[in-house]
Amino acid sequence: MINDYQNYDYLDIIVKKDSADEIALWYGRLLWSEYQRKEDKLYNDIVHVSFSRPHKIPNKDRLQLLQVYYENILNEKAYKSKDKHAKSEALIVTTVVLSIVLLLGLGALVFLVKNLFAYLGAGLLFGLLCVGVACSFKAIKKLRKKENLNFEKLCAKYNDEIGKIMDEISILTEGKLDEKKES
Amino acid sequence: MKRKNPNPLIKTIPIGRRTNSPYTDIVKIKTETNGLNVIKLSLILLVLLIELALFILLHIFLAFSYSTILLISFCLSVITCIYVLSSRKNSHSKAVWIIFLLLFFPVAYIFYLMSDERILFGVSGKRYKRIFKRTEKYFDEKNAKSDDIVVQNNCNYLYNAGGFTTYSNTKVQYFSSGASFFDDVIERLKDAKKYIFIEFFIISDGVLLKRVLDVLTEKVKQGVDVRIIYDDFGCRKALSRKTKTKIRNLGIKMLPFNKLTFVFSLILNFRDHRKIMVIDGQTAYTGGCNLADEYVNEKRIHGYWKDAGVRLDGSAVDGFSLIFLRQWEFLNKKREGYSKFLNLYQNYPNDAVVVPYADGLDYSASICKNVYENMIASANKTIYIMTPYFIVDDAITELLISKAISGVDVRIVIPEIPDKAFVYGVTRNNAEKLIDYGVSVYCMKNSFVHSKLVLTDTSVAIGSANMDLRSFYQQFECAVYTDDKDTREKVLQDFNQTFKDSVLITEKNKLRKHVIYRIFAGVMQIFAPFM
Repeated sequence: MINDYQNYDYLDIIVKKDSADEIALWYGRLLWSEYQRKEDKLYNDIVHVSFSRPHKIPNKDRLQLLQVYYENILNEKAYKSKDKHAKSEALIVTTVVLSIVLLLGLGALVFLVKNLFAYLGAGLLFGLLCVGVACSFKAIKKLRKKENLNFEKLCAKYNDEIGKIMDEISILTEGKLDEKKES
Repeated sequence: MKRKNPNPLIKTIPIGRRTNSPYTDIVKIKTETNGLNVIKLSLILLVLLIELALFILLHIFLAFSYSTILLISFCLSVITCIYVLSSRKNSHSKAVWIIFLLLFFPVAYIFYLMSDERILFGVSGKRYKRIFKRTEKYFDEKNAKSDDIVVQNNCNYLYNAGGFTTYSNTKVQYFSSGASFFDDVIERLKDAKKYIFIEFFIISDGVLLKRVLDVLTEKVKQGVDVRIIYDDFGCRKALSRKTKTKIRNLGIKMLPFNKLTFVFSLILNFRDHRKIMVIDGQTAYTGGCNLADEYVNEKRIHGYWKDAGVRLDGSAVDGFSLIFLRQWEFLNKKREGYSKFLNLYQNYPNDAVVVPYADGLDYSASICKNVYENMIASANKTIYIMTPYFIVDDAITELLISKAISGVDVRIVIPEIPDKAFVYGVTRNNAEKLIDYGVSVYCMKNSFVHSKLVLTDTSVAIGSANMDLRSFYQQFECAVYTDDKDTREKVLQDFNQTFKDSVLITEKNKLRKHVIYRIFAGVMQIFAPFM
């Protein structure tokens, strides 16, 4: 395809496949028209999408800035989603590793020091370990609940920001979307 | 039987061969990195480093083999320190050089002598002086006057320091983005009849250059004299040899400023950072935008690219014509009459004063720095600054602090997304230090701010000069100073909108609250004069 750079702007993006349709719709609100979509050669969860739009459109600078905001919010949301349980997962790993190390330590103690006191001590320590692990898992459960709540609040904040961006875009492109549909 | 592809837009590829991507981003903008001339630049750097290493090793060997040479080196370093102290460099540069000279005394004084512009630039400086003397007659001695004493004083300074005429009867149009700026440029280029002068730090292969070249190709066929000056270092990764050849073959005259060479010299540090376009002696453009896609947001590298520019129509255009022609004569090494390029403008009834001015090693004073200082010093209500870098000396820092303490509304806008991490670290550090004194510092969200704007009570300066030591002392710059009310109003609107789109830096979100950052910024401050 020969691009007409005098009259059109072009945009190529790489996007997650499951979000591609929604994002393409959103770019459409910014007056971009999709003209090509290709699968990635290496990865099966991303696609390459190409857009074009007339070079001269009203409020272009503001639309470009809003586009950057929206893309950043989407990507920030994705990163936060990936890391939303970071603290609880770190606690789980720490608990498991410490438990294994302590169990091995207790096992070594029982194996090496073969007397009643050692067995009693090991048993007591094992009991304490079980209590510790139980408390740790309770704390993890609470933390996870808190993380989910924080993430929901964050998502609500992002959605709110996206909503404001959408509203501003609607005002800026009023009338232009209908023209685009007709053309 | 083959299954029919339900969507012909999607090419199907066997799924078994592919895996999930490692990306977390939902949306990534594809951006090309040109990678042009990387090999050439790498080779030049390698050769320069080898030359430098050999030079240092040889000198150190001689110095430590012969104690006499070591003693002489030490004495020469001390003499050089005294020379540095008596020079007109800013205090920060002096301190850095003196530390360097004393720490590395066997060889440091040679480095200094190789970097001092009075020595390095001696021959070129004389050539510039001859050109200036021969062409000062073209600058109008009749300066327009402003009723505002502050503005008039700044105009007097520009005339006395650099011979820049104060014009009136000039229409000034402000552009708050690179895209709108270049759209206007391209439309105006289509009406060119006599000549087109273009001077940029960066001219880059891409969509914008294609648009401009399409117009220039037609213009050259129509007999328009098209001349381009580009900075060889600025265009090193951006403009391919193929494009340069293509441009020259079109009949466009093109000259590089300070060509990159294999010979080690610190004069390579001095660059032409100006952005000037003059069309038929009737219209001139300047600002922060270079001729590259990222400046019009057609290529995404640092978020949204915020830039600014200004168009002049009227007598002030001659100011930029002269600035360009002098640089052209210096690079071309041929004399030329300037008369045919001047006095072609149309007068527009406007009492506002407009002063196009330039700065560089061709001028003895640091004109851009002094204009900014004068504007800040004379402001009583408002000082708004928009700059990508904020690496200034004590004079400007102290002025801003005293103004803020006195109740003047001082605001600085810097980027949130940096283009160079080390420079940004120093920029944020310097800006955040001022918060304690009442200066408001804004970072424009998801953006790289490239505009160079200073707005005060009654005037505004728009141009290519950053608020950093590099622009003040090492680069050739240009700008416009004006008290035009409409322009000031538009710049003020741009600032107000930018404040809304920015994050205000406070005690809670400033980077300086982290000890490691303060240590890093402190170390980087040593290299501030070179950033």
